[in-house]
Order: sequence, then C-alpha cells, then structure tokens
Amino acid sequence: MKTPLGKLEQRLQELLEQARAEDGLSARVELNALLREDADARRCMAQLLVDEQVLVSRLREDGLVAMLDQDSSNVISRFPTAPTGHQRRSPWFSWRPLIATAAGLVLGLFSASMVFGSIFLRTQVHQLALANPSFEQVTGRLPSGFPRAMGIWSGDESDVVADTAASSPQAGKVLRFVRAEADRSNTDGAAYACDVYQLVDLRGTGELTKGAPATLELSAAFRDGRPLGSALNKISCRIYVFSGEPSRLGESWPNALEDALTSGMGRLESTGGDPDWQRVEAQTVLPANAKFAVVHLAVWDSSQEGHPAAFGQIYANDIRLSLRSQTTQISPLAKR
Amino acid sequence: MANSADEIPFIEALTRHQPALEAFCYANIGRRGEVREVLQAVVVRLWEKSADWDPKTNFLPWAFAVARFTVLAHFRDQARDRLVFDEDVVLAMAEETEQAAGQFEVRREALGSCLEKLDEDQRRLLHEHYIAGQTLRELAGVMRRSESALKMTLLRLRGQLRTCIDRQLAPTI
Repeated sequence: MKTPLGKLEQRLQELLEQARAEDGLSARVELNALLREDADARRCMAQLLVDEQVLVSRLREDGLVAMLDQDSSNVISRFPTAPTGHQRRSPWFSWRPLIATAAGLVLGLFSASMVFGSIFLRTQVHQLALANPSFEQVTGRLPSGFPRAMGIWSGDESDVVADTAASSPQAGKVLRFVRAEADRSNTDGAAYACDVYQLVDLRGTGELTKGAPATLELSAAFRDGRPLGSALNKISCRIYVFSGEPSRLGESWPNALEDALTSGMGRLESTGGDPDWQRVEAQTVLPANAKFAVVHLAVWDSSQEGHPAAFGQIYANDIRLSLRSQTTQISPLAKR
Repeated sequence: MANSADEIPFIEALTRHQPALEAFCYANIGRRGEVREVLQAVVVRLWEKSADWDPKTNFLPWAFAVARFTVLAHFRDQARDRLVFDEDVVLAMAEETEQAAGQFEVRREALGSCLEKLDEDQRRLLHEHYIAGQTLRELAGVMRRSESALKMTLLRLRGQLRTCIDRQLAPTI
C-alpha cells in the first residue's frame, strides 16, 4: 500500500462494494478470482479491511470521549441531518478523572464484549416503562403526527392489526407501517419514510443510575411480510435523548433533532422473503441532564421510485427500552 | 479453568485484544453486518478453550487460530450468495489477514494523530459513513454532492490516512 490511491486498491474497493450488493454475483466472482491469483491483491485486501476496522474503532472511541469530555474543544461539526448514532457536546459528565475509564466502559457496551460485563463491572439493568410496548391496548389507526404527550404512539399512517405470523414474539396485535408522510415542517417534501414515535419520560432515571455512567438500550422486533425480491427497505429503531420540554418538539420535528443530546440507531435492510421476526437494537449514552427520550420506529423505501412510499406488509412489535448502568467499582484488572 | 484467579490473564488478554479479533473477523467476512455475531461466537469459543492457552505465549496467534475455525463454521452456515469471499480465498488470505490484524493496535494508535490532521467536515464524513451507517447515497443527498464524487472523497481520505499511518510506523533512519 505504498500508493494511497493505487489502482489495485481502488479496484479491490470497488469490487468489494459491488460484491456486497444483492446483485453482486459477478463482482463476487471477479473479486475472488483476483484474490486467488494475485498475492498483492490478498495482502492489499486484508490490509484494507483491517484498516477500515481500525478507523471504525478509533472513530467510535473518539466520538465517545469527545462527548464525555465537556471541555473538549475537539468536538466535530454536524452535517445538517438527523443524528444517527453520534452525539453532540453535552455538559453531562463532570467527573473528568473518570472520563477515560467511563469511555472504556461505554465502548464495552457497544462492542460484543458483554460476556465480560458481569465479570469486570457491576452492571444493573432496569426495564423502563414504554406505553403499549406490544400495541395490545391500541386499536386501528395510530394518531397522526408527532406525539404531543408522553406515552402515546403516533406518527405517519400506520395501524395496529392482528398478528398473523406464527413466530410473533408477542402474540396478539402488531404495528403495521402503511404509508410515508412528509414532515410537518416540510409538507412539500418527498415522503419515503413511515415514522412512528413515542415520547418517554426520563426524569426518574437519575435515581436508578445514582450518577454512574449509563446507557439506554432500545430494541424492537420487525417483520417484513413481503415476498422475496421486493424493493429494498431499511427498517430502523432509533432513540434520541433530550433535555428541556417535549411539548413543542413536534412543531419543529425533524429539525429539533439538532437539539438531541445523544442518539442511537439500529437498522436492518430487507427485500422481503423472511417470515421471521428480527430484532433490531439501538444504544445511546444517557446524559445526566436528560429529561425525555424519543423512541422512533421507521421504515424507509430505498428505491425512492414513487412517493409517498407505501408499505403495508412491514410490522413492528415487542418494543423494549432498558437502562443499563455501571457502578464505578471497577476491578483492578479493568483499570489497567 | 480451575478458578477465577487462573482466568485473569486470559480475561485480560481477551479484553485487550478483542478489537483486533473484531478486525480479524471483519477481514475474513468482508461484510459489517455479521461481524458482531461472529465475534460473539469467537469469544465464546475462546472462552471454552481458554484452558488450552498458555499465558506465557502470545495470545493473538492462538486466538486467531481458534477464531479461524469459528469463521469457517460461519461460512458453512451461510447461504452462498450472502458471502463476499469464497472459503478457499479466505484460507488463501489467512496469512495476510493474521498479519494485518496482528498490527491492529499499533495502526490504531498511529491513526489517532492522523485523524487530527483532517478538518472537521472530513472527520464528520467518516463518522457519518462508518459509525452512523449512512450510505453514500444518503450522504450525497444531504451534502448535495454526487454519489461518485463522495465515493472518491472517501477513497482519498482512506488512502490519506493509510499513508499517514504507514509513514508513522516506518522505521526511522
């Protein structure tokens, strides 16, 4: 990798991207043939992928440390878009000597190292109350628009219907995404996403965390009932954490996302053909000054072939929100 | 392992090297979505075989060898059209993958100062794409740039960072 944009590297990168696509069979064949024949290509490919993971690891940690360090002048700017998994500077953590340690703990949550959580860390998990997490108390069409109060599911055109799938995580009713609607702040805009929200009061969480580093974990089960080969849809659950008052949030949504303290997103891509429910999870840090959260379930039509995008066969159920806190009693091993 | 005191060197090594193991999994799979699932299986397998590791020896070569079998098992469980690399290619790349993943920590350390040389928008672009998971298409829409121009920008940034890392790690005369 002596040449940053060497032809081989660029070719490998292009083939890799194409090979990952649904219709990437010919690219996969070409990529594998190249790797079989060319030792330089193998070396280059391995380094490309490891370096990408090096980058991801570093960005992941730097983002968290910047967010934790309230005095950091190294906070990076934002594109004018919804925050998805990144955080803006937030004056929530004044325990500076523990910043690096806390970042390590939080990183542990984002990685697959949970197997160690019970060994090194005193972890407490509290289930937070979501209203109608399995939609059992809701009937028919959900209220339209962004919710005006806590504990109500509302949003774009969607309804609660009887579940017909045998493998439902919670028998009974499910949420069905029906149609995308334009944002209220931009009614002329194209509508490719069907969004459903619930506001959750977080004011009692301070009692649970006792000031210790904590994360919110949102999980939702989704099912795409369309036949295999349908248009590519992105299905996501997101959580945004805010301070302040929620009552006026709806007027400026989604621009109000700029005011989110932290956020997290989990998503899957689907072209149908899978009758089973799939669970998607999102995590975000819980700042000490958090007052409420917005739980956001969405389906997005990636094809953008027509709008408003219609769905009708994509469902959500069994939404869970939990708070995971770490006590500061860290074992000597973890302090190294 | 007999007791928790015996486990400490293993836990310490596994905790320290888990990012390198994640990179190893990613380099074998080539697809981000499945890495965590495979890494979790690798960690569980390593834990089961922890008694086989001699703490006086290097952890990573042993861990890579165990991980490779788990990765190959994953390959056999997957539908062929879900795989980026063929199994024989993964085996052919074994040495290169281990070598690259073995350098994970030093390259990660070097990357820290390389990232500081980027401007805020460049760092944000990397963050949005690699951490927030925004596709090039989505980013292109937000930034009002063409997808191909954005793709080239990302390629250049990656190349720039790689050159910077290599320069830092090159032996000084």
